[in-house]
Amino acid sequence: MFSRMRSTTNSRRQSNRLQGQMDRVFGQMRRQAYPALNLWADDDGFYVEGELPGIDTESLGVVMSDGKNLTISGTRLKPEHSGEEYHRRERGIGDFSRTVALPEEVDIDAVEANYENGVLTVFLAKREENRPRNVQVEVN
Amino acid sequence: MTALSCQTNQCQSPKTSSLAFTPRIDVIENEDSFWLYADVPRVGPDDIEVKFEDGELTIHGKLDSKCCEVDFLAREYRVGDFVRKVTLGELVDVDKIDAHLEAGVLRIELPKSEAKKPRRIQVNSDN
Repeated sequence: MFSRMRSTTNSRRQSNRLQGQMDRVFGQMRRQAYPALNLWADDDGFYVEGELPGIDTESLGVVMSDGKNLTISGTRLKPEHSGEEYHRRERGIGDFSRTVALPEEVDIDAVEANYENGVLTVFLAKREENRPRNVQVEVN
Repeated sequence: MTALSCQTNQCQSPKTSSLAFTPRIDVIENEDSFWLYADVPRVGPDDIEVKFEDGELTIHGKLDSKCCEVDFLAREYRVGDFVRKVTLGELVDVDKIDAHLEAGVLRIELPKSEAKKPRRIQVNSDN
């Protein structure tokens, strides 16, 4: 009983911490912002991934501004059926746009975006001066 | 509430439920068919199982979670298995169900069965 309560508190604390991290990274983010995004990084750059099923690919836009702001926009179309009656309607439709600020300025000439199976992945290469580099240690 | 199995860095130990999320769906009916649209990003045709049994449609997706392979700076959704069940009743012509996957959206057409449409039954009496 007690251990369960403790673990619930722990996971809530960790969940709050995660939320805090997300708020720091995506400054202007709202909790229900669409699309939901995951962000991770390696030595070469940042990866922003969003689940965007059923997007009209003609409408899909990826724009960089001020060196670090990434905007993803597009349109989700409504299914069309004659004489339709909705029993469930959970999937959003219409235009969307979301801007997120990356932790640092990136090389905007080396941004790559790919849309596959309803998942948009954007790779943003780090600037040369921001990449980690090995420093030779001289031993006397 | 979806499972939080990977949020607390406990991903190495597989827990009872590995369900990552519940896909959002639309269910539309018109004169001839039911139509189900499900947002199932990331899956291919081989990763998804669609079953219709006893008037219930089940969508089951199996995904290798990329969880814990990378250090997320921000994480607003999770990747992994999902299940969604919808009860549609016996009105469906099971032989004509058609499922199609495109750009992360699963579209299932479930045509209505003529033979199984509701009909009025005459009640007879011996009196």
